[in-house]
Amino acid sequence: MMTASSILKSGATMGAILPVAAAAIASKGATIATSQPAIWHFLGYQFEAAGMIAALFGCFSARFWIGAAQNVRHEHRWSLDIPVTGMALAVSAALVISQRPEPLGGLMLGAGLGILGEGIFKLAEGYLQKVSAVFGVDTDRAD
Amino acid sequence: MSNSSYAAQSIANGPMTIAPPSFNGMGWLVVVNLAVMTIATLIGVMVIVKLIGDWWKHRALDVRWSPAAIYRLIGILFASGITLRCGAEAVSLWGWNPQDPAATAGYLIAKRMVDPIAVGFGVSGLMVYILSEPGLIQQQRKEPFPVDMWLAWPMVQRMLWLGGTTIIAAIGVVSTR
Repeated sequence: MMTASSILKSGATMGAILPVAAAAIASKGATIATSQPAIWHFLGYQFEAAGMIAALFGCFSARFWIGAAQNVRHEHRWSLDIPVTGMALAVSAALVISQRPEPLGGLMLGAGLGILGEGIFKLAEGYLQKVSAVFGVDTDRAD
Repeated sequence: MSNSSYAAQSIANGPMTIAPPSFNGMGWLVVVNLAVMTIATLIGVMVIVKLIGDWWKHRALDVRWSPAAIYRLIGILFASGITLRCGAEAVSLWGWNPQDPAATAGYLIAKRMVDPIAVGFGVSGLMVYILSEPGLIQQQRKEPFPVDMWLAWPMVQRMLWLGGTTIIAAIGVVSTR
């Protein structure tokens, strides 16, 4: 850990994170017999941390990069985009807690739900436009 | 469980490491590889989607073998090669699980099968580049020379954000597994 702390002081982010992770792994051992998968607890449920991290990352990155540049997304960021993302993240967390997948399964689950979230976003966005057209509310034109 | 394939047998009879044994127990190396392969796959898919979308949007303007179409084709070929190669590697790294040798062997065999296709994309990208170079260089030697490099900066910014989150996720997954 001496080298890790001295690199931390040098300020190189990449160089700082990696030794920390290496230290975290080195203390546990490299084979299945010697390693202890971290188990996290949430509201009394327990699940593998690795699967949860993978699922949340998959979901977030899918939500983030599909259509992140679209104007619609910027327009409805607080009313639609962030709630839908939160919903997708919550559903993937719930599925990880119930299914307890391996990291790859968690990643696929999260990414799939993130992509589903895009469909929900599109539906909700179309619904909003329909509502505003029916009630004559001043529509903020998409695209 | 019957491990019929040689690949599955080698995993089942191997040292049962939590990451592929070729990492030799070095966790930091697993983090770097996992992060890099995932980032490359995400960025590659992003570039393919963007370029094919552009190609479709401007298909009337950029006719076949116009400089813009060739430039875009080279980008698509390189991005496809990187995505296939790194995607297969990312799946086999994320999915490594000695307790399920059959599935892990499936990822490893799939990687071997995808690799030549990925190399095919990369090499045809190089060939299209070399083939089109004399003509394109001639087209490009026209004033004004300096290109505005920062027009697509928002997209590169998104790539960098994805890269940051991927590194964090890789560290998290490797250190808690």
